[in-house]
Amino acid sequence: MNDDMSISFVIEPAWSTVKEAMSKAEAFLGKCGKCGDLISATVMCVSELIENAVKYGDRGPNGDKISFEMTIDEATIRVTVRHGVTNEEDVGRVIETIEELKRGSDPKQLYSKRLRELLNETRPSVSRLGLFRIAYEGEFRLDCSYTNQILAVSAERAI
Amino acid sequence: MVRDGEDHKVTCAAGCATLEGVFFLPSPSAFAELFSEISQDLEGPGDSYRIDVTKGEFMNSSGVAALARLVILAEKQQKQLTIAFDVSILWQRKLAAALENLSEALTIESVAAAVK
Repeated sequence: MNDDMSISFVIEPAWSTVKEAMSKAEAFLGKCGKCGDLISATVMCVSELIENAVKYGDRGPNGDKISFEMTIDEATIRVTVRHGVTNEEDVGRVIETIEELKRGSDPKQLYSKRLRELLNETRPSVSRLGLFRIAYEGEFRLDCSYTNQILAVSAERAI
Repeated sequence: MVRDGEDHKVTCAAGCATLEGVFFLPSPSAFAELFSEISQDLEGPGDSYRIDVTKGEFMNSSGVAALARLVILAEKQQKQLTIAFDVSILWQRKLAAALENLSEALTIESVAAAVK
């Protein structure tokens, strides 16, 4: 793949870096000649994945940094975010959600279902809506792996 | 009353609120605080309320969750809530479709594509 069609960087797990990553992703997509809904969908996906990494990430074998990678070829766009996580409950929730999305045929239905569940929760502490949103709004297919306390979540969609 | 953030603004007037800009806050509770005046208005007198999000450029999922909670608050208060979305903006178009059957208290108003 041409180097111009990929971007990667490592960021600190701080709230301010989420917006920074969104701006970099948007600029990269513009440079690749992309526009409209594809940019909106991908920037949303970047924001949700990095936001999750900031919220749930902690110190892995390589420290607490978050690594980000985005590649584009003629047919697909792929975003991967890797970060350390030691809380297995958090990892389990991510894996469970992604498996649910892989099994389901209608991301919109799953997104609406999660919205309804949220409305019945008494304490609005966390939404856990982001992965459903990536699948429904962004039309990305999600996958993940967890090795040596590093969680890698990838999202891919057709262009 | 206007609540101004770094890059967003919530303006509340009688029976309506307007959301403008980029809504990017770390948690649903941060959004609950930002939308507190809307919640108070929904709990107050009147039988209808309108929220215009058409000038909302971006909202993270915590904000989406907080917006959905306002729908349920309106339902509990037996108030008819209208949310105006700009369907030319991806997140608004998709959210409008997902919220459609969430509550009988909610009316979705799809605004014609804005010139950006």
